[in-house]
Amino acid sequence: MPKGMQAIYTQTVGAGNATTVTFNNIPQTYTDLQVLISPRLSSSYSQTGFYIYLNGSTATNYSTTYLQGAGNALGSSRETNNVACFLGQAPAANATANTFGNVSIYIPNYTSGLFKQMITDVVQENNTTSAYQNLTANMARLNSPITSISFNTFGYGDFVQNSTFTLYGISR
Amino acid sequence: MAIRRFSTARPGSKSNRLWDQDTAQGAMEPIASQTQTGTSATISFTSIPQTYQDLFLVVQSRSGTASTYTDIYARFGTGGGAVDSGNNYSTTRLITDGGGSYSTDRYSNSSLIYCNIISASSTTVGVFASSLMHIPNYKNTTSFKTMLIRSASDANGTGYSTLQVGTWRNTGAITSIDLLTNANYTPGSTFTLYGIKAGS
Amino acid sequence: MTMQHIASYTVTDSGYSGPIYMLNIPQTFQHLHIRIFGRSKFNAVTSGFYAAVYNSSSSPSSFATHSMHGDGTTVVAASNTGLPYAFAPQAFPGATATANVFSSLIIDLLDYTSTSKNKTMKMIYGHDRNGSGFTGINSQLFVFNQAVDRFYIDTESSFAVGTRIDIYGINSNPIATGA
Repeated sequence: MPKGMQAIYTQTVGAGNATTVTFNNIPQTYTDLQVLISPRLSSSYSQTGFYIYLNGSTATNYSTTYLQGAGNALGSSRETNNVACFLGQAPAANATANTFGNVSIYIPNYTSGLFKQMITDVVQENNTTSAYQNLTANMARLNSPITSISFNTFGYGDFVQNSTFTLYGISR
Repeated sequence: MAIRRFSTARPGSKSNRLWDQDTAQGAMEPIASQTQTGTSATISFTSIPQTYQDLFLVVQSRSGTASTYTDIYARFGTGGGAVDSGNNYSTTRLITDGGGSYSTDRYSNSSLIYCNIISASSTTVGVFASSLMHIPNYKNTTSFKTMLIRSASDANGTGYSTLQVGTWRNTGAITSIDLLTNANYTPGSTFTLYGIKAGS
Repeated sequence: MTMQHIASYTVTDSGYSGPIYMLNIPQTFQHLHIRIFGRSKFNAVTSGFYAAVYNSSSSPSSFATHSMHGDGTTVVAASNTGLPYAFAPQAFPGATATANVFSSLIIDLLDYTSTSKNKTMKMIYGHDRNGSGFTGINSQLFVFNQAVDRFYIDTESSFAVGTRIDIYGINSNPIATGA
């Protein structure tokens, strides 16, 4: 197994859009995971929140703490006992055309028996004063190894064509 | 293929420095890893190779101190010697606790860098915090050392998300790193040091 | 390997002036990862970071910048639109800052070769000056749905000796199927 960083899977959303994007059958041979996402959503807003859940489970075992900037406004909030972890905002249909967000999710020790504590940085972008940045802490109270990762908005639109998701394994 | 300048303008003139790309090479390599099994409050990386451009630490940790949250700290050593415990460190932090509260603060003339706020013994069992620590140009001998840290410690109703930067006021190349906490690291805490390679 | 070093540049000349450019960026990766260790020669405590992406035949039609940052006293969210470049405030220590202090900037530019997507750059950065400092997250929109093969960075009065930029390509050639 090569040490360091290795791309595992990549997905690009096609013309039909995608309600959910999932990485299944994640190899258990790495130490950490990283996901890089360039998303855009179909909902009729400038931005829409999107979520991550693990191993296909939407049990209420997810929570989030985040700091959010939005142009000239700041906010801080948390979500508890949720069906998925809130990541941040992605550009949606009313944002500047052809504009996609930039997301990095780092998941240490994904095969361990510890709860999964993810470090997430999300920027949305829009050619206006207001656009969102999130510094997010996500936790999944999941004691088992991660074998699949899914992304969804839970009813607030689909990922549009050319949204890209790439999963990387990091080995020590 | 060597890195070349395309501009030969005189120094001091208005010039554009250009270069062609070097031959690609793999960049990220693990150096060392430790998992806490005992009761230590300090994790040390010593004899750090001087063959990389940057260092990158991935830490997942919890403390046994009797509180809900506590801190991880960093100290550095140079020249193969002990880490510097003098008041030669400082930190600027951007923090939220998710409860509608966010803040920024700083520590000056400290004996360590404040790296992360991590869960401790009064937080829900099983909750460990995660940290990514970037140390660029760790081996150069002309600048102070900068550490950029991104951390997460959500505990389902409490928690922190932070972005922090620290400085070690020493121009020596980093040859050792201590990561310290209060009381002890909980068994299962992991610490991995990677080197990021670059061309000359 | 997935993460590959493309090029580096270090400022060694105290008379250095102007931006740092990278030309002929290979089009063989999916993302770019850029690491900057920098200081400005601007005669102030801090200096801003300026960036642009473009290619040999076109440039972005507009730029937008959004940031969230703290300086140890105040947390601020800010934005800029209509500038001819992307901008991050106070990203670098300036000439009157504590000597030998440099800033660390970690930048990701995803899907940089896409001809159907504008370019969104994400950056975390910071420097501490022992009694003051600056850290934040910054995003930059380049309204430019062309492949990027050129990139430049700049700061007021240009870069101090010791400033270094490293550019990496991140490929997405997967090793596994069955996703």
